[in-house]
Amino acid sequence: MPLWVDKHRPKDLSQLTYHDDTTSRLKSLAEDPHSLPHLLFYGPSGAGKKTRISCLLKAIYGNGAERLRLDKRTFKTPTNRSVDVNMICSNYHIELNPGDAGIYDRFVVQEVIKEMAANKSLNAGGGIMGISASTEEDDSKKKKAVEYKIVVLMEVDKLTKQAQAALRRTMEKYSSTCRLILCCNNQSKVIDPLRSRCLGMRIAAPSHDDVCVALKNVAAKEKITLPDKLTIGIAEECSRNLRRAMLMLETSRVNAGSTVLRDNQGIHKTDWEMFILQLARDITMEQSPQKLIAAREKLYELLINCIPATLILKTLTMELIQNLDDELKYEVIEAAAFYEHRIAMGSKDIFHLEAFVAKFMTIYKKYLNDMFA
Amino acid sequence: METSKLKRIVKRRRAQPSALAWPVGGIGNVNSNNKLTSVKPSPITNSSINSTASHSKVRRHRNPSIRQNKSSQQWIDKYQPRSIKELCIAPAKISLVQNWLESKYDKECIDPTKFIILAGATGIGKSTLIRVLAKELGYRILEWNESFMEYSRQGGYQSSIQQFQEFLDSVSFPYEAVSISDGASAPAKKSLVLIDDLPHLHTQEQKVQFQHCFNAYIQKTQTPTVMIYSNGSEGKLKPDDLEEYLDPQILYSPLVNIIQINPVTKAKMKTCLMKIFQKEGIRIPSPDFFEEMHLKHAGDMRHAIMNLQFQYGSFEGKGFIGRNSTNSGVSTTSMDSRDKKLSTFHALGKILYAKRVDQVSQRSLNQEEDYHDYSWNLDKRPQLQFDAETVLEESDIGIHGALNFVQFHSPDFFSEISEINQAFSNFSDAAYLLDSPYELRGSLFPEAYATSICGRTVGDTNKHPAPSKFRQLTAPKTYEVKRKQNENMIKIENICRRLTYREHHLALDVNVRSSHDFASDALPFIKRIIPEEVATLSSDIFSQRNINIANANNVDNDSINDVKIQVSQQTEVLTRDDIVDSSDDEDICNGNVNASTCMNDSNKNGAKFDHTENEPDIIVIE
Amino acid sequence: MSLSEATPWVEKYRPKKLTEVSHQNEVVSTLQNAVSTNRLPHLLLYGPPGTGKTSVALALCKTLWHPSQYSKRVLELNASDERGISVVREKIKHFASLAVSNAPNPNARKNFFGKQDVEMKEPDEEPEDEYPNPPFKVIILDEADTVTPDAQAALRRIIEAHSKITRFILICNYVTRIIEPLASRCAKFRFQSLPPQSMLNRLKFIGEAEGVQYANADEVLGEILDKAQGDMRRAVTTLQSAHMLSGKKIIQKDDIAEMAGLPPSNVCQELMNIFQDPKSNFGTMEKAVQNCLMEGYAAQYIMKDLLNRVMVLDDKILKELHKANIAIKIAEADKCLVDSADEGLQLLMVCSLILKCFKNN
Repeated sequence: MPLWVDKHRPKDLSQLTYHDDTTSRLKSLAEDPHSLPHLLFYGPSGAGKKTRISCLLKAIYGNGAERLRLDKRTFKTPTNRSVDVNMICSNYHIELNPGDAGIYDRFVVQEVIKEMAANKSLNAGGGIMGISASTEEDDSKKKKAVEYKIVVLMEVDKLTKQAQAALRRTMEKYSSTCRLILCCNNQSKVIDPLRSRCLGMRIAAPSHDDVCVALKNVAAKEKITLPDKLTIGIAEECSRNLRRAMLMLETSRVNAGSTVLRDNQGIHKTDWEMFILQLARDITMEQSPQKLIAAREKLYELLINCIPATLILKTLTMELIQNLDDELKYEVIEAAAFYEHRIAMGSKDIFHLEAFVAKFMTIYKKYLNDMFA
Repeated sequence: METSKLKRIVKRRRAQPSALAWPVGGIGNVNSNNKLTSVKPSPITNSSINSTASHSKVRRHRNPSIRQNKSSQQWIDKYQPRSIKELCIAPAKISLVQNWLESKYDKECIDPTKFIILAGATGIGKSTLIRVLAKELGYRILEWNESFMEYSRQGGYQSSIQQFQEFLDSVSFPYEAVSISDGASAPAKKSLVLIDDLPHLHTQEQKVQFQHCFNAYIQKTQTPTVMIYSNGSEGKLKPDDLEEYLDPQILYSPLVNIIQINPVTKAKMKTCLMKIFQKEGIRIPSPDFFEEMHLKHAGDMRHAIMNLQFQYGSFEGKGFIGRNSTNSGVSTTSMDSRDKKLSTFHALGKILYAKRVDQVSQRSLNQEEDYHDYSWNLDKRPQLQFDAETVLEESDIGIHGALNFVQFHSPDFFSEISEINQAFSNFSDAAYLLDSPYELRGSLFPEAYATSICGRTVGDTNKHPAPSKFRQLTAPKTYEVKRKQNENMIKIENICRRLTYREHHLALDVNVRSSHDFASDALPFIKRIIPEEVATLSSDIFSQRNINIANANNVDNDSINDVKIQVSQQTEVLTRDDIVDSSDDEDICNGNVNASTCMNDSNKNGAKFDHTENEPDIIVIE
Repeated sequence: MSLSEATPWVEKYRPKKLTEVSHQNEVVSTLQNAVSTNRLPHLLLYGPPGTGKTSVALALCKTLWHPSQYSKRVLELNASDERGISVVREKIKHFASLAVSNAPNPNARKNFFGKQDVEMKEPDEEPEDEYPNPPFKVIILDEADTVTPDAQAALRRIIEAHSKITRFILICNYVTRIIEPLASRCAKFRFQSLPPQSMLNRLKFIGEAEGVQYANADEVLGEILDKAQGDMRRAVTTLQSAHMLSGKKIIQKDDIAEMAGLPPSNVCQELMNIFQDPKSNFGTMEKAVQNCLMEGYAAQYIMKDLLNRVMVLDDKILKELHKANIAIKIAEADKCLVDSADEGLQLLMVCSLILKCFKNN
């Protein structure tokens, strides 16, 4: 049983429910696959970038693009180190997350694209077939038209600058046989030359209403009763992340134990968020070295559970400023931004997280003292 | 920038061949073609050792006055331990290694560890331990030792890594390896691999390459493997250093066990030296002598014996070596004493119990305080300014370790949250400096700044220290956290992959996403939706948290227990080792304190550091 | 046909001759003079992106040699190529060593590449005189400021060693990142941002050639120029994206920001309104900030835009001191973002400072 988030994912451009402008643009691109430029999808996570990419692929290549397989490829770097990268392939495209390759991302990206370009013969065969085979008209019409393969690169913003620069070169070199679709959360992390070679596709997060519509759709397909209040609750809680909303819906369904969901049924936050919530409460309750030591244990726990330090800090900050005086908020956020930057720069997350907690405790205690003094 | 790092590495590496030369047994058996040396567990022939040993000696001293005396054997060979009993290593450590070695050829053994790292200062008998054990157990040693390498002819360092890899490939299947080296004659001989030195690694690339070949080896090997990791200048194991050689993921996996061998204790050294005195017919010197020997050589047995022979040579016939000899005759400081070292816990204790550092730093600011109480400090290192940097420099823990340690324990010493805040922000600065980009790393400044910050922060910021009490200074949990994080990451990746494959359906969402996102974004829900899929792999991850929410103090039971067991084991072992010393200890504490105190502290207390007991000045403060 | 459509307009409409380069008259005339007197020095071209540095370099080379000679005479290296010292050295050495002969007649030298023997036959008759055919090769090092100082030092040697037969053209954005010894070996040319008028002319020309349709030509192109901020390349790319995304139909003014990947002006205006509204509080500001990010706009651009807007405010609305503080914070946040810090926190930090400043004014 696949998860709902996968099961009810739109498979076709026409099934997309929001961002109609973008959808129509994608359609017009798919209609004329000859001149498909390199594309850059950007937008927050859970906005539907990936869904749109796979819809576009389907529109270009037909159903063949849906027959996917998972490949684990091993690349030998010039330094004789092998790097394993998981990739998803169809006959027409290949999708990978070059971030998997760590510092060898540049190498892996180049290799993959080179290979795709070299495999052109296989695809050109499709073109020749198109000429000879009047029998398979329908399918070959599309195949004949498209003589390139597509490489989908995820999380391009996490690529090293070198890899991005290399990508730019490779893009030009093989553009006749291979098109790129890049996908990232933050386009400002993509270097200018790369961005200027791609057609940007901004995928904004779905609005509350969009989320509600999507939830209702899925509920209808799964034949469950979804009360409006719960729908809105989920939409608000999911922070405009549709993937999250779907997962929440399915979780609610599992928790309810029946196909009838109730209004008053709680919406589950993730366990780590609850944990951080409690941590925030502890910190605001009392500020002392002992509490700091207790807080640190909680931070360890979060880190052990592979919650990224940045996310911990961010969530904690948002939790902490909820009940603060506006006066203090700036100070706290400034500290958070400061330490988050440090986390992003280095590898010693714990130091910076704890420093932030200590900082908050100090700010808050001073504030309390001033108030009562 | 790069060169200074290089120099450091070279310096460190340079120190090693000499360190390794002493117990190298079968140098006569070197097969120069494949670098595969098989050391027969037969008694080592003296002649074969002699050349190596004397060679190392000359190199160590660079002193022309030491000439090889062909008629008399080197003492270090003559008195080399031949049996377990003669070893100067804590019995518990020995049996740990022994049991492990025995279990490796026991079919029912379930211990996953395939690789142990013996870490410790030079000259305390790590490789000797393995050799002796191999002899007793009848194992064959397949050895890699870089001292055998000849770079110039082999065409540089690159090839040394290649050869190392070839070596590893050749030994990973125990029985096969034997048949290669020995014909088909003794196929069932038990063997173990001893890696006594590592290839030189200069560039990042080489390091990566090395790591890779090492990791592959550890995963596939079936031969028990022992790596000797001695660090000539630092003594104590620095995780950072090891991580340079081994991927942390492997390093902290159950496949690898790191065993720290502590420096030879005073008692042991005394017993050993006494035996030599007796055999050589030298009059036994005053008790002071042993203290001084121990202090000078910082637990380096090899160095001590070599020096003894040297001294004996100059005093031959007189038959007495006493305290005077070192004061008047041979210059103690320049020639025969090793660099003075502070034990980790001693140094970190100094930093953490801020008063000491505080007093000292005040002194360095020329504020006249009653620091005459600390004259013992001056007594210990007369010509040194005693300040935080020096403490850290002299301690055997690296800056990374020290920072982790100090930061981890510091909150306990504070009473004011605002002061902790300052301290923590300083620590964050230090961590930031240490994390500076790769090009800058190794350049002196960021690290030196970090050292200063690390050393002075507590003293500087802690204006209202918490009342002094007994505090257990355990290893910081930072590493533990990192290790578990890695473990869980692997588990999560597996879940991720498995969900992708589920029922031959490719879940578009799950597959090519980074596990970080997956852990925070999708996993919490998936856990509720299809608990059975996730539970099998990650039971450990999330069940733990539930316990913790209920009982916040009881976080991470496993790790605490681990640490506790380690601590108790260590303490037990160490006290057993040091029974003889305990009386000396008191004398020293009450009277003339010298550096041997700190040596004993490190041995006796191991992971515990009881400040009130050992430091007289605490009375003043209270 | 499909290929030509995929070619970026930037390449397609790159000036082919020195005379076609718009607005950099001084540079162009100096270079032309140098070419005619046959005394071309090493060049260092610097200036903001999209001002025609690469175009000038390429156009210069094209005026020097017959197209058939071009590939033998000119080596182009840019940041996406391997740039390690050894690679640079090897490539350049190899390239330079091929030009042992400095005979002006190309026929004497064509045996270096066997296959070119054939090709050379046809065009070598008449156009020979059109090109000065100077006896050296040119190495264009694009984005030279990304070369590490070490490699630059090595480059210095290389330049000296090969100076008889090669000329180097270094191109960079920041001349300060070129080490002094290297810069001093070159004739420096500073490229200025293009004035809107000359950009507009060029854009119009391209638009006509490609058959672009505008809702309102002046408005749309004006918006493009505004967003491009003197960067010709960006302007052309934006025009092309807009043309493609609109399905080759009519381009609306509002599309432009979207195409350029920049937040539309109303996004930032909204934030400004919140700052200036006495009724607004932290909560409303936070919501607006989250919204911006959810829409997929990059925090960096929003901050840049905010800075522009804050700076022009009257002293009565916002004190100079506050402006200075805000500018500093934005600069810091920008640096943090470059270091890949979290967008949300940085933007929120900047916005809460601005809000605070407005409240305290």
